[in-house]
Amino acid sequence: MLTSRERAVLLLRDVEGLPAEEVARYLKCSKATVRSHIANARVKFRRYMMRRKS
Amino acid sequence: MTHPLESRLALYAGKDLSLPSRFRIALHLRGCSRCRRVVKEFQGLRQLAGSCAQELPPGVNWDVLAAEMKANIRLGLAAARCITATVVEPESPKARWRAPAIVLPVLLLIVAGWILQSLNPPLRPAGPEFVVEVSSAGIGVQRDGRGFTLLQPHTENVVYSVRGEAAGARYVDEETGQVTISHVYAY
Repeated sequence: MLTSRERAVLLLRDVEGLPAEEVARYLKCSKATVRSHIANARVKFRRYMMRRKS
Repeated sequence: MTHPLESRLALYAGKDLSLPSRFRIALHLRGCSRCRRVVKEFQGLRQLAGSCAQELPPGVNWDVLAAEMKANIRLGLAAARCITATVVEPESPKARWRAPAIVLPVLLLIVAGWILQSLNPPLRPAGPEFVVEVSSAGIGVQRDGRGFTLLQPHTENVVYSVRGEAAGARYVDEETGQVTISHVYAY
């Protein structure tokens, strides 16, 4: 399950297509934090889809 | 062969890595089909996330939702009408004194005019039938053959004056020095 922060980052970065700097500004955090959240969110999302397939 | 972490590949798929990191992973991907497949999956998931966000959730009765939205809009419009109908702008202190400030001077003017008029009744012009005449006996006013004469003492010191419909007589008593002034108005 994605955390609210990971969900927000995933939506802003992958759905809305905003650059990481802008996402960091929206969420008032650093770019490194955004990168961490987006990596976790993508990995969780992939695992979820793999579970659904199997 | 050491594979990059899954999270690094996820970042690589979204071009979220720095240039050196991207270069290192790109070199690795050239020789690793497994990681290439993972990166492709991540890229596909990105597109999937975008398309999923555009889709409408299944199992929702859109007619009910639309009816609720319409009802809410109507309710909002009705509430707005109620508010605009009942809102009364607060009267400013200036506006509160405006009416008395206008009415009071006008009222004072009317009262003052009425008082002045009652104290000094205006002279109404005599009709053409009134005749004011001055004779040696005094000042006479006649109308249609009838009239009266304000008799003056038989003295030569009487000074008569006639002005319009009014006539006046003024004399000084030789014995007492008293001045008597008489005015007769015909109206």
